[in-house]
Amino acid sequence: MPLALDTSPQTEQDRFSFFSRPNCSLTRTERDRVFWGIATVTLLVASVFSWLGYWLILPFAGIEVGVLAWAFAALGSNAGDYESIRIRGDEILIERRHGGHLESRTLNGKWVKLVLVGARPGGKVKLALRSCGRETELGAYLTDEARLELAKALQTRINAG
Amino acid sequence: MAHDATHAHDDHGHAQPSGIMRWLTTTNHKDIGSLYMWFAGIMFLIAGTMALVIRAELFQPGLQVVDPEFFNQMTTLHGLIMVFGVIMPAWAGFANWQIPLMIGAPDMAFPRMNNWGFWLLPVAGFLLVLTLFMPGGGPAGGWTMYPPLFIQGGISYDLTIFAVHILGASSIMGSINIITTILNMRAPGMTMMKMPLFVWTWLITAYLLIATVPVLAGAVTMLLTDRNFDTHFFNAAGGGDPVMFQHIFWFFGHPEVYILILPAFGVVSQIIPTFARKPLFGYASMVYATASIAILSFIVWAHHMFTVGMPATAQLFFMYSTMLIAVPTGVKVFNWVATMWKGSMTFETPMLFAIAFVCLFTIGGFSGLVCAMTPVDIQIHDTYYVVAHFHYVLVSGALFAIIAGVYYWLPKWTGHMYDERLGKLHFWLSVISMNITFFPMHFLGLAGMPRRYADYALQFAEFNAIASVGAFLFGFSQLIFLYLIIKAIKGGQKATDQVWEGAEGLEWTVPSPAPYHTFETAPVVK
Ligand code: HEM
Ligand SMILES: [Cu+2]
Repeated sequence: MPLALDTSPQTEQDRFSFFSRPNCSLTRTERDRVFWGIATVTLLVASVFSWLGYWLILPFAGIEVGVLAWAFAALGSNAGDYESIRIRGDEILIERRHGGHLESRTLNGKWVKLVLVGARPGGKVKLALRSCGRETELGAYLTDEARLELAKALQTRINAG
Repeated sequence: MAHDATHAHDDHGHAQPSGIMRWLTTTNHKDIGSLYMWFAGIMFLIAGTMALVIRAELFQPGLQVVDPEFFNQMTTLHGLIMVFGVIMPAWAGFANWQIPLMIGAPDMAFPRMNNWGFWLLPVAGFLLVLTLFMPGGGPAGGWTMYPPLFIQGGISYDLTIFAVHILGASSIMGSINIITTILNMRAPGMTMMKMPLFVWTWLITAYLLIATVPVLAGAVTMLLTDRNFDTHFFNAAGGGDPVMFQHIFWFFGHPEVYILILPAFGVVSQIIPTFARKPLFGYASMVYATASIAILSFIVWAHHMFTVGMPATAQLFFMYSTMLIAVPTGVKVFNWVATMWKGSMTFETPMLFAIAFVCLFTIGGFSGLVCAMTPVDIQIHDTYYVVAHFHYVLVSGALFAIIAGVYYWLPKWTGHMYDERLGKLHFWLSVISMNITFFPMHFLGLAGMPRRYADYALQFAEFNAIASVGAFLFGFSQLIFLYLIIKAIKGGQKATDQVWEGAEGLEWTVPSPAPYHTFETAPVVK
């Protein structure tokens, strides 16, 4: 579901920082408002019919609102996702949030190797940093082109450091 | 190659199953869009054949071709399949193909649910056709499923109810997907008031579906329990109220007719500006008019029931509320005409169908207003006048807009231009035969010919014969359409990215045919 909002890496002197997140055009409050707007009307209609004695509409309305709630919650769980890379001196801090689950890794700039697979646009570019035998993939929300650009910026920064 | 688990979603397209499994398991919005379109097309041939059975029988007074019981099965299934198996799935197909392309999203919000939503449809379609082979034949109580007939029939009535449940589940999944996609996956800069009108109309349609489908599901469930579990919701013999079924059905049913037509408004609002080479006149008023129509559609349902007996105040209320809908509808028609006014118009096939839509849908709107007047409706209710009305809004309305949309986006979908000469032939045959078929029905209705009968009095013979000739012409003209679509899929002149000189919008910025994956990274809309 996530699609990328392209944020190009920022390099200023000693620091390097990069931040990107999936594109969500609905804010949290909007999401709640839309959900309750729909749920209220649906449940109200079903309640009126139930009150008249035609109660078998209510279970269907209930199931539907349940599915809707699940769907909106699923949207919400990805809304806070992001990926960030910060470099201070030799320290590289990678942070990734996915579905409410935060993952972070600190690498030493002297010991990392940049891994780039399929380095041409359209070739499904994979970008990762390898250190201590473990790879951390980067640029989840970027296009191939943007991932290549990020790779270039990172490479320059790592070589310089 | 090492894979990071959190990235699995990026890697579709690597190990894709082939053959039938590809289609069964696909979660790609374009694949699913095509599936919906093909399903609608196949069901159109089935329900269209049923219509021709009806028109063959009605070609002459007396009983010649089928027996009356089978005739009633044909009218019932024709209506159910056309509404739930053709027009709605076709719009869902357009939604799947176009909405992500038009808002700059890579896919629908819930691709897996999208797959389930589609695959429920063939199951329901199969059940509906299967009813014909059950003991006692298919359902013959009318597409509106009114009791007492619908609580008296045989096993095929249970199957029909079950099919309606499945169709409802599919609609709910589809609309939740569409609402979440439109709200949450718009590209940066694609604000609500910049969205293409087709997207707007579908957003409102999806809302109508979510609000009303549980009502339909509940209504048919109560029919089912009345039939099988000794409840008496609608069974007068047990103290139930059959008229209440009509209220509940039309509380769903009238919003439903707008579910069928709002996406048509959207498509026409895309096509006319393209071929008039002018921006749509009154974009904001189009959005507000669509929303007003949707809201009003909840308070007009009893205009289908003026003859069941209701207080005069209720008659007045439903008459005026119904007539009120003509106001936002009029705004729309005005805006389409104003868009064409002084435009640099050209008349490719999509535009021809769109213009025919504006003219002929308006005729259907006017005959709707005639039906809305209580005293008049008491005269023409359940006559061919109503049949004429709803075929003008559904055939030259919804169906023509679907056809127009297919011509409009086919080059984007297939990468090839369709055969323009054949397209024009298809247009002229369709528009002429459609009017030959349905215009005389106004006269028949006014003269008192009732609907849903296999036979009629002698004085109705001429107009019925004319209508039947028109129907066969219309039906066979659609084969041109099928041929032309297959031809464009197989090959033909290469389409450019923009396809139409005046076309604007994100879908025209991607190559033709649109690649399997588009907008994996959101474009920025200025
Ligand atoms: C200006 C707008 C409209 C008005 C005022 C209007 C009014 C009416 C009225 C009063 C009836 C009931 C006639 C009777 O049964 O005696 C009717 C029937 C019907 N209308 Fe409309 N209508 C409008 C637009 C539409 C649209 C846009 C559609 C669908 C695309 C539609 C589809 C139908 C159908 C299917 C029926 C017949 C239902 C049945 O009994 O089987 N109408 N309309
Ligand atoms: Cu209505």
